[in-house]
Amino acid sequence: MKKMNASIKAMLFSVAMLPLAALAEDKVVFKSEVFQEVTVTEDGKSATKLVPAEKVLPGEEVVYILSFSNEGDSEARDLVINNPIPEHTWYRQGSAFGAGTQISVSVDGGKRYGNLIDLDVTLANGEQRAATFKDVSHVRWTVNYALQPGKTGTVSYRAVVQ
Amino acid sequence: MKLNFKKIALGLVLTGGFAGSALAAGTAAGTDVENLATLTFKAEPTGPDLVLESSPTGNSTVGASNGESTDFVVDRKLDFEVVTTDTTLVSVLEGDTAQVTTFTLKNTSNDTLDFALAALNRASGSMTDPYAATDSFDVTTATMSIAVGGSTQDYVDNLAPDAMVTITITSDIPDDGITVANGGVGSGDIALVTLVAQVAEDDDGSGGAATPGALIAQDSSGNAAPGGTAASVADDPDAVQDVFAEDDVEGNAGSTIAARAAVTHNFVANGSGRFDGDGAGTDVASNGQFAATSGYIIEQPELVVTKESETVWDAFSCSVATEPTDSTADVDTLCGVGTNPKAIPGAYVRYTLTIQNNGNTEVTGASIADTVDTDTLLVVGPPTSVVVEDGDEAAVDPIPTDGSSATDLSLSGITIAEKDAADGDDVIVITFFVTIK
Repeated sequence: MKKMNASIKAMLFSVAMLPLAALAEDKVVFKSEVFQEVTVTEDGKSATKLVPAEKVLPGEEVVYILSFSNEGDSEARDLVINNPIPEHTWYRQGSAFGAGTQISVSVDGGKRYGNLIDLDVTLANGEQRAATFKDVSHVRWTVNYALQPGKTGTVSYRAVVQ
Repeated sequence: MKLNFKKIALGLVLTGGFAGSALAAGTAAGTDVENLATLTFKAEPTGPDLVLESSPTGNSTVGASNGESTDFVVDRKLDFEVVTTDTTLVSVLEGDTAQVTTFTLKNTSNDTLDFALAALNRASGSMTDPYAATDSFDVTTATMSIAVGGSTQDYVDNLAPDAMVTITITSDIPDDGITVANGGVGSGDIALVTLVAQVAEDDDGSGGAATPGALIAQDSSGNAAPGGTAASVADDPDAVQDVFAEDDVEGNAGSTIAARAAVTHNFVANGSGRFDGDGAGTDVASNGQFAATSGYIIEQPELVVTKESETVWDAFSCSVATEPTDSTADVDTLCGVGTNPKAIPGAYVRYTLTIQNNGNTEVTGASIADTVDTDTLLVVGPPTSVVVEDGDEAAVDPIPTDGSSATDLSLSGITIAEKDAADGDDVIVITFFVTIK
């Protein structure tokens, strides 16, 4: 609960304090890209590779890759990446990845985070059931390291088009 | 503000039940799927938390609404299925009209579509699906018609994702007037008919009229419908692109398109207008078409009657002096061993009627009448014999009533079982005497 309060407060603060934050502008670059995994056959060998997601049908999977680079000259710290699962997709269970990060998910719109198996969903009648991948609303990566100048980190997850 | 709005929207979705809201056919074609992530960090150890939104090319401007979502458009999955709901071949008689086979078409695409339909009169030859049946005759092609939901039309209009319609093929069964024994079409013969559905655009947006839209002749993945040309279309994340996703159908050569010339299909005809059944024209997956086969089986009795005559007794040639009383006895018994009866006035002639049912349906209540030649007189009463040979005795029930007069043989109430390889065929043999005037 403490973490949640801190992060909400931080967001509000950053919006309110936009002029001050401008001091640190152009320091960290944050990019989201979406890919599809395709199987290609080259020289008689089949291999999977990622191509930009351009022909996507219901039931197919896309890969979101989020990359963050420090283009400034001092380290950035306490990095937390938060990604609401896009509408019309489901989070692919266990697909979130990020070296040097702690990964947690939310099934209640970002109020509470944890491991999916530990989370419950409250039904309309007040009863609770175990959460499934279809309930995941957010994925969060808490980066364990400080991002040094000139360095880039990436995290990723997969989603299935409903 | 964009971020806040998104959070509110998500909250509403959660209240309404987050999971399971999608259709089985999936997210509608053309839907934009947007992803926007946030990165929170500190630029200085004691500084404020900075919030940075993602963008497809990389955003470095801290603060809400400075990012840009990473989007792709859900493309159009053209997927559908045709199945027959007939669980057996439809039983018909030769000459029957307006006989109905029934199918369903389900749109499992993620878009509303039209479909053009064709009814095929299948070629002679065996098929494994759905009845492992062997086609051996054609229905009257000119009279085949297609109806959708009871309305005679050869297209389906505005079929929504996950929606299903019932489609019928109505056919007339020819009567060639020739028995199976003589090489004609008859009992046990099968005509298979196939319904082909070709995916088409839902055209109501442009014309409004309830007509089939333009056939979708190719997709954006290099697949073509029969008659179409495969097109290589560059992937475009911002445009809705078509992908044929339907399955293939059982592979067998087809026959005449009866209903819709606009639909070409890849079942191959030979030069005579019938199809050769060589399997060359097989459907493939992802060609914008789906087909299912049902059919008709002729189930009717088919009686074959033969009549033979034999002179069995005369008063001068025979060593047996008494007139015959058993129509089933042989000539040696009736006339005497080594004798040779002649067809002279007063002689007895035996007629043997043999009746066999080569059909696949039992005959009940059959009547047999025979008017004898005016130069002869029927010997009425007990000498007339009715027996069943080589078959199931119980099939002749009730025992025929003999209503014969001096000039007419009349038998009624005869049951003749269908041709049955398991216990042999019923052969009804009727023997009676006439005397020559």
